[in-house]
Amino acid sequence: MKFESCNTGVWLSGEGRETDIVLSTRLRLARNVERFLFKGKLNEEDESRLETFLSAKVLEAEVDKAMQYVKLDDLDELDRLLLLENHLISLEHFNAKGPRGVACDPAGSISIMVNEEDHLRIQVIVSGLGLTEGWDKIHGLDDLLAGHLTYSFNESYGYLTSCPTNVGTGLRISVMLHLPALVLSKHIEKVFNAVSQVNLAVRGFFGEGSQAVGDFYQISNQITLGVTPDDLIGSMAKIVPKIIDYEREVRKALITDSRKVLEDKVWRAIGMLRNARSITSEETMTYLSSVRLGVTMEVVDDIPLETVNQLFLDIQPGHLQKIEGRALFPEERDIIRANLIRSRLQENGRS
Amino acid sequence: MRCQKCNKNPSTVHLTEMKSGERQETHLCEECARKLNLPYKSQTLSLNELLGALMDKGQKKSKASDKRNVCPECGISLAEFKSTGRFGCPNDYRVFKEHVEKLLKKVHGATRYIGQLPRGRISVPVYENELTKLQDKLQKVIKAEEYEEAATIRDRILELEELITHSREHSGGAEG
Repeated sequence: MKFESCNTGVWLSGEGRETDIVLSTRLRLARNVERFLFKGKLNEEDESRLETFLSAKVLEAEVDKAMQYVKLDDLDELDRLLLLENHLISLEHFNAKGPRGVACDPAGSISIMVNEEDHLRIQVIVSGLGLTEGWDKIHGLDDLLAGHLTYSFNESYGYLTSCPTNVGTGLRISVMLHLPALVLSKHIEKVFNAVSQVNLAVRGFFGEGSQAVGDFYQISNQITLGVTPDDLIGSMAKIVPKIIDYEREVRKALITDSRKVLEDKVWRAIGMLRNARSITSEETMTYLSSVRLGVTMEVVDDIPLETVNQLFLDIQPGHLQKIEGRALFPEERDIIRANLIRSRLQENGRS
Repeated sequence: MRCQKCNKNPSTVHLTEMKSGERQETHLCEECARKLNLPYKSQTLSLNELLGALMDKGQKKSKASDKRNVCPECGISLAEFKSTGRFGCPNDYRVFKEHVEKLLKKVHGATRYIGQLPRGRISVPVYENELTKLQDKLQKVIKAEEYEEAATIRDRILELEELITHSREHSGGAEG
């Protein structure tokens, strides 16, 4: 089965607040419905029944008029990979087997996973720092769905989840930050320490279990019980701007104290990307990070932020193969990746 | 960064050694580090192991009784939960209540839900949980002279009190 919708998110547009540092704000709610066991204990027949039931309800709720549902077990691996790279499904959902799916809106900002670790994982991504905006949106979706389904909810523990680390609100808020200056100046460890003291966690580019690439870090809440969503948003709204300020301060220090070093780093990265004939995604992410730093600090003025943001995704294996329209071997991928980068960085400025 | 020994896997173990006053950094993958028998603990402790460890801490109950402690609805045993970290059904929260509450206290520092209810549901206990918490918070913000916040909290308290009275009058007792 082919799947053309669920395009790369509007969250890459570079629009919104604090976009020099914040790539996106992501919220997700873990929800289960009554009369079904949790995912791990469902037999195949019930799993299938649940998937049919939930997918119908999700579409019926019309959280978005153009919402499209796709069954992941019918989808080929490349299309699943695209959904993963677009942050519309989790790594777990990508790797799982059995009846499961995802509904998303055409803008790629809403996704509702069916039969993930919990029956439903509702997710909203917005560009830049948008905690309240994101919450209002996801809360609205949750309310709509609650009108069509009976959630598994208990007065003592709130929304019941398969894993007790999500119980209560079932809400995880993750803000994706680009912190190259803090990494460069080796101050990033301090951020990690401070963040863990206030019960927030640091994760990599693709969420739980993933590594930090391209100096991107996701800050998310760990606690979900005994706190209201407002409390969670409040604590993120206090901490994230502090990290942003810290990164900006170091950036400022970089430009005043070591402008040449910074410029050299940025222009070397651009040089690599504009000239390489074969390049791995790992290497690309490292250089793109420097370019992004250069663009947001106005060291470079002929490359738009959106182009850089978009490249972070388009150079991933799934996107690359989608753009080429065929499966590619890793070595072949590196060559095509280098071609793509050269043409993108040329289009938007002279070389 | 790739492992400096095998040059294959990503490095996840980072060693800093002081040799004759000089700092030396070595980056290895999990596998190569294990071969060297280094006195380090793996960072990749899985969530499940962590949950299991948290639950076992300070408990002397034998594993055998964990195996006998089974949920009648989904058939999961406490022992199975401890190894997978996942429940089998909503009922498990009640069946293994004692363990659940200890675990929740450790993971979340709390054992009770506060916040809104699913649309269309009414629950006095949830309102009361929030009320108790807000009353404490109100005292604190008044002490700290944060009057603007105090006013917001007071409004929510009034709203909750009204909700509680209203639900008591209309439902004749909340659902269990």
